[in-house]
Amino acid sequence: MKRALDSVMDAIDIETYLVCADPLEGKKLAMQLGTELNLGEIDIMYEEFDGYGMRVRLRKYIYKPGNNYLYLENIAPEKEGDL
Amino acid sequence: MKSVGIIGTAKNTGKTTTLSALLRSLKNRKIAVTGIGYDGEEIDNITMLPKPRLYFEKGIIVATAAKCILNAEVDYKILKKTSIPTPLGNVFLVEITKPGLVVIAGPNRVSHLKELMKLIAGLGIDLLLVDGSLNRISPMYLLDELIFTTGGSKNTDIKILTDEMVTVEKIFSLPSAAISPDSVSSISFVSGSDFIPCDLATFIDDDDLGILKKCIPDRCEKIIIPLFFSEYALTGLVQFLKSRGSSVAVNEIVLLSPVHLLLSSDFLRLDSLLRLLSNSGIKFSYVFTPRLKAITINPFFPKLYNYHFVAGYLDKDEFLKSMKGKLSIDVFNVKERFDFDF
Amino acid sequence: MKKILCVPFDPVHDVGIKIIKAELDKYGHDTKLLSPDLTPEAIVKIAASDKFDFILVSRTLGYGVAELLARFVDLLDAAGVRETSKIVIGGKPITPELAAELGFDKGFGANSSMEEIVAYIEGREITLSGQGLNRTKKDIASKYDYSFNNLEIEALLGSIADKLIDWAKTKSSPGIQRAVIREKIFNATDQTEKDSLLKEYYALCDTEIINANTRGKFIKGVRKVTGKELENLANFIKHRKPVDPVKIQHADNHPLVFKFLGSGCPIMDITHAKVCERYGIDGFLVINPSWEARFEGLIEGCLTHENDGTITSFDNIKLLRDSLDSSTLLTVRAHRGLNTPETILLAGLAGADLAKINLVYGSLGAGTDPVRLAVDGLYAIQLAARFNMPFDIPGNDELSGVPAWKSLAGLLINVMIGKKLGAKPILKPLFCYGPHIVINGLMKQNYIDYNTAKILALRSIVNSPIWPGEPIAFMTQSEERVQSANANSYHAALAAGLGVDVITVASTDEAYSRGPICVTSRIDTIRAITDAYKFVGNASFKPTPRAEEFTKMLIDKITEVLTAVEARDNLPGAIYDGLLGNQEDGAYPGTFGAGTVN
Repeated sequence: MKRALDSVMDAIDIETYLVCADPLEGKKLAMQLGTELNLGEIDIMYEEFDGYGMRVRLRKYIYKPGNNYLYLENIAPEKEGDL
Repeated sequence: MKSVGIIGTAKNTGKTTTLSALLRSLKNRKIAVTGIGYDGEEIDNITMLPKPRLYFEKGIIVATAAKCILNAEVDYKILKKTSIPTPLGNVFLVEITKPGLVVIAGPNRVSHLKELMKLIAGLGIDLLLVDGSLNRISPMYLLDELIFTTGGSKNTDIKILTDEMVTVEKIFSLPSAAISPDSVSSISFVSGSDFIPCDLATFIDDDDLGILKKCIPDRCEKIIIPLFFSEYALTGLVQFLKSRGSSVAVNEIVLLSPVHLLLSSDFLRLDSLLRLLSNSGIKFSYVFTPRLKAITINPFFPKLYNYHFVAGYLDKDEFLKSMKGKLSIDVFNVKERFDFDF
Repeated sequence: MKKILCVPFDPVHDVGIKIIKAELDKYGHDTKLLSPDLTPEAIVKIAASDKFDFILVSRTLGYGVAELLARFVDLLDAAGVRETSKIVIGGKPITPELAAELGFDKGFGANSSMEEIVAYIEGREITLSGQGLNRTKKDIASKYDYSFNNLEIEALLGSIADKLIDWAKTKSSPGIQRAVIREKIFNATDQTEKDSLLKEYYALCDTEIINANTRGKFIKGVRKVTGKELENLANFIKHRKPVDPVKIQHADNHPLVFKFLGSGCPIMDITHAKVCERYGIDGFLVINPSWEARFEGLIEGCLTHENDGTITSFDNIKLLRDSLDSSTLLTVRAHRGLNTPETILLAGLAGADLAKINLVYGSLGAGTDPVRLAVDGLYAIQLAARFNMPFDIPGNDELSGVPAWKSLAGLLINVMIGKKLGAKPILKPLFCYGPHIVINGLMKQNYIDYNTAKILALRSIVNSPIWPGEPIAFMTQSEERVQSANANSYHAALAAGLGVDVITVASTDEAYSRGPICVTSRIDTIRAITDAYKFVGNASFKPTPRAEEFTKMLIDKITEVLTAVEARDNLPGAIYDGLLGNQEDGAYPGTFGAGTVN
């Protein structure tokens, strides 16, 4: 079956708010979130600590330039009568 | 009181691990610890990779910024709130009463380290350990012994890393000038027992070099440069003296310390300078002579992978073998257990 | 005057340091800006050649850059420069920890303000961040005297209000009686007295309310907040403080910004509110569950509710009020339903700052019988006046399809009643894309003219505070967050340009209906509006000549509507007859509480 992840054009962004005591804990939680969501290592694109928690925009690249873009395979529908 | 500093050649070369090893192997001594930057944090401020942390046993004296001690996971007794500032508040001198993790952020300049050392010496301490920060070295010339840390984070080419440390060893092997630190404060020419000062605030570029050249008296055996200089100007001076031929009497250039020589340029250029020196009939000597105690190596390096950093490692055996083969000083791998003796 | 060396330690990014230099020059300091292509050694030579008080270094950070900066600090240290100059680093990712690691005396990062930098240079203490919001509570109504510029309308409104007040004089309702009893319970010291009063109270309540209050049998989805939950919340409030609080208003005359609360759970409301406060929100409106309006009587205690709307019990309102910063305004919704007087009473007792009342909309678009709401509403407005709470009058009947002029006529009736009863009313015309507007193509060309006309029309009639809502950009937002944030920011910029007093803003998930608002979506619109205010400053949008036509049309139509209403015996009669919104418009007189007025 086709994997949904393979069909992501390039990246997944996670935008959320992590409740934490300080910026360091926030960053740690952000990285940990990537692992807990089975995304492996993720980038923190944006973070802002406000005293109560951290607004974050996290990114996981599924395809980078030069990768094999699985979503482009088998684009053409199989023609009837082709064997 | 003996003072020992840990110097990194770059970030993530194993300063913290080396300091931890020192703390482990020196359990029954009266120890004080400070640092010239910020160390012991959980996650690297730049790469976001986890970092080793600093654990302190009961009885150790720690000099760190107010904010660090207030957030530390230890119990402590405040011995003195100093007026030495850091971006994280003034430095507190505390004695650890319940062991745990502390981030070290101490005095970040020469005069402040001097001031702190005086305070600590008054506490009856055997040994002061001074943690470095990044590749910072300037205040470290005040200390008795230095440990250099290097590794994959500085460069991933083992040969280059080895050559660099060979240069460091050469630099530290140069002799003491036997001059009291307080006796000279400006560039001076020594002829017999005469000291002729030269009015230069820095010795950095062609202008400075030009002025200095003009000032060199006909009879002069020694030039003392007790201030900041660049390798560029120093090389220019050596070349100039060399070109004047054997009739010139200058045979010694006194620098402030090996740390100042290291600061003046990169390892490659310093090596060329030392080679230029070797057949010039001129020698370098130092006012301050901290001893090179050991070198520790760290195979780890932050590898850029898919636009973020992951842990990478050099071949540890090859790294250690290369270092030990070319250096006469003790070399340890920070990832393996080792003990220091002071 | 300080002598300052500005060092762009970066081959490309030297804008930041140029801005700082210009600012320091303005304060009269002696600055010298270096070119960005010097070697560290060359910079050290300049730094050592003159006695600078400060050396400001700007640099973006990446791997390897830390070492460059650390070496530069070392060179300055070795050259003795540090003995006379403080060295300071500025750059987006700089934190105090990073500044310490690099060896600088001080660091300024993305959240540092110019004031902070100047204060540091000049050696002044400034308020440390993380020590509260450091702002004062605003009084929305104080500068208005409710004088009328349109004498014809004033006369009509005066007559409508007088007739209503006179008509209601001899009338009462279970809602008013409960409010009277509730106040007695609140002031009673003796338990037997309280018990007997409660008995009287329950005699005036619906079964669902009695069951909840006496047997703990709550309406589905409602439960008591536990002591542990309250303790956790108290810890959160006590131990976490706002860091680098933001001010949304770019100019002093920019409108205050309110947000809704009403997730159902007071704890979730409060955690959201604390974050919103830090991002600069000036006040909150508590939205209660829609079913609260249908029952006679209110549930007591600190309660949470799984669905939309937070229960407006005394304990819940008090918990909110006590958790918010003292400078933050809180308004409680009581514009409809069978508990309007009691809700205002509880709001007043719990320390709320404002209350929301609208006699017309509450009985047209929101389901309460016009006679009941007229009687209850008058009492509620008197209570609001007693507690010195201004009351805001939402014009949300436009959303059911009522034309703006009818909605605005309703708001004005409330203003006159408020004025006569000594209260402080606030007009809340909608900034929306309501059905009547869509059908008649009133905003086909742009969204500026018609919204502008509403404000200009109201202003030409009466000198009263104006608070577009509720929220602004209603029915212009989709679930797509960029579109939603933009729609909010454009409407906010329009409001700022028009010089209104307050706006209510939604979140970027406003159009999503299958779950509560998320804090991230709240932050989205706040940030968008902060930028919009900055963008518009004291400038404004230029409406087309149609805005003037619309304004005139609105004033004429409002006069027409009020003339018709005035011709009736009393306001409820006019509402029943559809003068302020009829079935064709999509508005129906409510039925809850019909026949209960005595």
